[in-house]
Amino acid sequence: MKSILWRNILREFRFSFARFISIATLLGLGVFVLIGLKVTGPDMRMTGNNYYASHKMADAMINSNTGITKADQSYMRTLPHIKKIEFGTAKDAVIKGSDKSIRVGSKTNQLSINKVVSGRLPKSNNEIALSNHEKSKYKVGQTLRLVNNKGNADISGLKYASYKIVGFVTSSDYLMKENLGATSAGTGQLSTFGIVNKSAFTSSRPTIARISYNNVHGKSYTNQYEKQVQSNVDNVENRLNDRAKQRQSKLKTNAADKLNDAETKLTAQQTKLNQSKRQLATATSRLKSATAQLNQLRNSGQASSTQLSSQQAQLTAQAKQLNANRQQIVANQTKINQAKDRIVNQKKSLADLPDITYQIQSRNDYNSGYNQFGEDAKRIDILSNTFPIIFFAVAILVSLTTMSRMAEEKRQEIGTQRALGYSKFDTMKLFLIYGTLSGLLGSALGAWLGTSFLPKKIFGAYAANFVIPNFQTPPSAFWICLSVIISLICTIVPTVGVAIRMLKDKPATLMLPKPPKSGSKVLLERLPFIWKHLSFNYKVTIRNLARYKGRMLMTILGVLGCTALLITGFGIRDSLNGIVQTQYKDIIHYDVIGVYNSHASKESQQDYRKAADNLSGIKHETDIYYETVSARPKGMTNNQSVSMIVPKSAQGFDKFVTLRNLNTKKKLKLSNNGAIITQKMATLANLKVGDYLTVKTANGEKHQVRIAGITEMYAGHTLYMNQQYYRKAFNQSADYNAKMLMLNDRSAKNIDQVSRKLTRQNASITAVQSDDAKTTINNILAGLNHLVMIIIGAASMLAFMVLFTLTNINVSERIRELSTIKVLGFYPMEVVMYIYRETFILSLLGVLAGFVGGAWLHNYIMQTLPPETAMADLTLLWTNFTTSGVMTLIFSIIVMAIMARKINRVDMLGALKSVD
Amino acid sequence: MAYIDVIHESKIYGSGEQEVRANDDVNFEINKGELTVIVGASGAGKSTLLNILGGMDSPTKGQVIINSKDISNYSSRQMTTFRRLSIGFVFQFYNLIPNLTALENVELASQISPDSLDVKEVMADVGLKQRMNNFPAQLSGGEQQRVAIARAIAKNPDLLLCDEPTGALDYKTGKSILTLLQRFSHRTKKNVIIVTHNGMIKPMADHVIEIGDGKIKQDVLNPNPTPIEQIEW
Repeated sequence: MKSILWRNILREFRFSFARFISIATLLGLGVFVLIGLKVTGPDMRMTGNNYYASHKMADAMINSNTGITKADQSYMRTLPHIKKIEFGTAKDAVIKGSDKSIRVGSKTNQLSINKVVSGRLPKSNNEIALSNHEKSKYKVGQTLRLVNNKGNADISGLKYASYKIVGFVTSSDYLMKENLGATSAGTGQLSTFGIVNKSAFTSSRPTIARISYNNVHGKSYTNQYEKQVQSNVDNVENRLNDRAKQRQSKLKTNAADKLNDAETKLTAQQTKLNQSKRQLATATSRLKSATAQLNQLRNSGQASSTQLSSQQAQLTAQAKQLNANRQQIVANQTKINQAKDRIVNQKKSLADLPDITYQIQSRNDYNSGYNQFGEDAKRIDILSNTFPIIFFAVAILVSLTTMSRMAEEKRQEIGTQRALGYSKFDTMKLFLIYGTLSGLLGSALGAWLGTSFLPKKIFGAYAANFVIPNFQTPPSAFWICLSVIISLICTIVPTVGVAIRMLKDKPATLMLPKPPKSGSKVLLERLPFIWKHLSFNYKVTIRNLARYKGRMLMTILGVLGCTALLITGFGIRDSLNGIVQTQYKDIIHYDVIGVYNSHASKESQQDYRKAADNLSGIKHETDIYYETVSARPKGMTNNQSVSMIVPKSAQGFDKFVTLRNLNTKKKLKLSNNGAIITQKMATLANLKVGDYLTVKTANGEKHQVRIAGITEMYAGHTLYMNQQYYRKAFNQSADYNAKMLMLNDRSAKNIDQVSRKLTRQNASITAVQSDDAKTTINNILAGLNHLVMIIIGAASMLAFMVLFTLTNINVSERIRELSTIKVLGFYPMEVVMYIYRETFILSLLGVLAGFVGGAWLHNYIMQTLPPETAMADLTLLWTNFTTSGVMTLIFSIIVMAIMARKINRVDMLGALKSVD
Repeated sequence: MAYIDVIHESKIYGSGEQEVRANDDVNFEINKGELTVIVGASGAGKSTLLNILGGMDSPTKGQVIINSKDISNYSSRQMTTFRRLSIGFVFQFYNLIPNLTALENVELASQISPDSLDVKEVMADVGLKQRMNNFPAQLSGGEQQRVAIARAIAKNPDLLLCDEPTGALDYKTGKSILTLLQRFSHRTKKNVIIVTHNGMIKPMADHVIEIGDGKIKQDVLNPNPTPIEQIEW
């Protein structure tokens, strides 16, 4: 039954294979980019969440700079909403014979557990399990020797310096493969970690408390989860700070009490001594008078010589006794004086005692890898809100045109079928089948690649930095259904719509050809001074452009979209690369900040400064106060870490950092009435000059800082102020605790070496390298670069398909015209140019419009794409425009070459014989 | 020597069992300045012959010598050049470019030809002086065919080939078109070849070639062609 109808439908696929494939490809591209970008972020978060869940990652962590006492441990156990709490310790050391620093942590049982990849966890105190990432360098059974910063096998806080490696583990605390965090050991950057027994530490007081909450729901990175944890953390922050202060004041009062006792005792001793001194004086004067009496007696000659000599002997003995007493007293006085000095010193150092901190942080703050992984996923979410729309819009536009054109072409066929007695539904079967198949093929292909290929490619780039394995790519029912529906709408609705409209006509009318679009004058002709000067070919072209207004618009829009995508793709890549360029060439000139302990003894601080001054290869150096504070602008869940820098001498500071306005590039100066904040922080917190920013120090104190200027900076948040303003805002004078160094040799290797020399000093806390941020940004870049390349590839393909499809329609619609001019004796190239001139002009217009669109899209995306700690240079390079434009035009030329072949193969006689 | 000399020309499609001979050993000569009518039924091979004469197709065998040049072995490019410089075509369906005015349609041809005629004069010649700036859709069928003829003439070709030029026109309009062609041929002394299935117009020609089954059936010269006005069909 009706098998011929089916045969006809089948043949349609064969005859219009190019169209079928291009429709499927166009929709496939749209679906590919849509699904790919939409699912990658969620896939990454899910994979991360699985990893965290399998390691029972702690929701929050309390870090202390001293051991947590038993009493405080019990106190922490009673904090609200705590499900589990586990205490642990960690110490940093350097691996012997290398610059690599290692954090040795205590084994955990309940929270943030380590999973054994090979071997086992440590059992005795001299065993260690290393990061799985070290598996290639060490073997189970090998010995790992650790040293302190000075190279000695004596690591404070650890019982042993050499360990037997018993296994390799994974951890949720360390999510990055390199740069695991800041440390006081080695170069200042943590390279790896190891796990030992709790009893391998010398102190029984832990420094870390890991917490899980009983009131958090939802997966990692969800708003629900993050907000709840943050509010739990915020709630107890003040209590913990108070607790730390209490402990500190108790510690201080205890110490002060002891000193006071000693002082009182000393005073009593002094009084006693003074008494003895007085007695001594009386005894001495008595002796003197006795001696005088004796002399008188001797002179008077009244006494016998024996009497005299015995008296003399008595006096001599007395004098000896007194002498001894005197010496005793002097010795005692010295002792007392020494004790006094000691007490004075102790009092002074008590005042200088560093603040005890109990810092509670959520995952985002205590684990930079967690935050960065989430940020990376978020970057893709942001891209997924713009790119797919444009891809899909272009694909829809073009497939709509193509499909309605297909229905128009079938006009006479439909008429004939109707005249032969086929039902209306029969005549539409072709469109339904053709549309369904092309739509399904396209969306299936796009969905498949978008679900697995694209996310895997993107994740692969990130996997270079993260330890999170087993990337999960489950198909997303929602996005796949949506894509299929949109695709089917694109392929079926226009054909069926056109067909229904046509079927309203009588078959007899349908069988007659539709009169060709008649020509008409174009607006330009009314401007003879322009029109007259155009060559004939251009007049023809302009007429034709005006004739097919719809297609003209489609071509321009299609090319616009593709060019904009290309510009944005290239622009994103260059802008992100530019961050590092501008940041380290134009803005930041210093290489290392060596931070030391300002509470350390005067001598060791002096030693540190001397060591810094004596380093070779230093171009400039200056004293600064350096502290990392945090700020949380309104409406944000995450704390932003801000480096605060107070230079000792504001003059000449521009040698180290260029402070300047982002737009005007005008230099900014540190003033007494406010601080200078970096641009991105100002944007995040919506700060203007004159506003106040609340910053929180490590011990939980909050301070208001007035913003006096906003400076250009691309990575990291920094707050600059002079010492006068620091005193005003923080109510204390800046206690210079860091050396800012600018090196002659700025290579990473030299910076590492210098850092290493600094951390070797007793007073050293850490060395902050100015290019730490560079590594982070480069990591993000590597991931995005990959994605951008895929987007560029997809956009190129889209551009090609759009031009191909539209030109193809143009050619087949005007095949008669082409045959006519061919018969007239136009050479092949002239024939091609006759039609291609239009495509080229439209492409050119599209490219120009795409420049505008691309600049806008790039600007829009670059506002949101960089992570919260970074900002991108929004300016596009002119090469972004030229490359994209030239690429689009090259696609257009390739399309022309393909079309030229088709045009040359056109049977000119066949076309001319048929009825119009 | 004759202006056109067709010698043992054959056009064969397919091979073996499926072999179709559209033209089978065709031989004729046409002298300079003749108005030639080639008549035959549908499928007789007359259009194939016209296409070969016009440089749109090559014969399988034999020679086609036009103006002392053998075009039978021309490459595609040579044929294009030949069409461009020497041939004017008029079709049953006028094949005007809908988006160009009548004048522009003619200019389309004249601009690629080195010694083209003045376009406006040609338009006046075909009687379309007043309709030059109209688009094809605004013209009647006869007017459109006149534009097509003007387009063919404007190149100043040596040879004007017309494939059923009146096929889509009514009787009266068809007559005026034929008149135009006859006048052109006699006035300019250029060759015009009209292919038609309408044997009634044979008297207008200087030279009539009848074709059937791909072969020449009759080849007669007519020393006294009848003016079109006097022919009835």
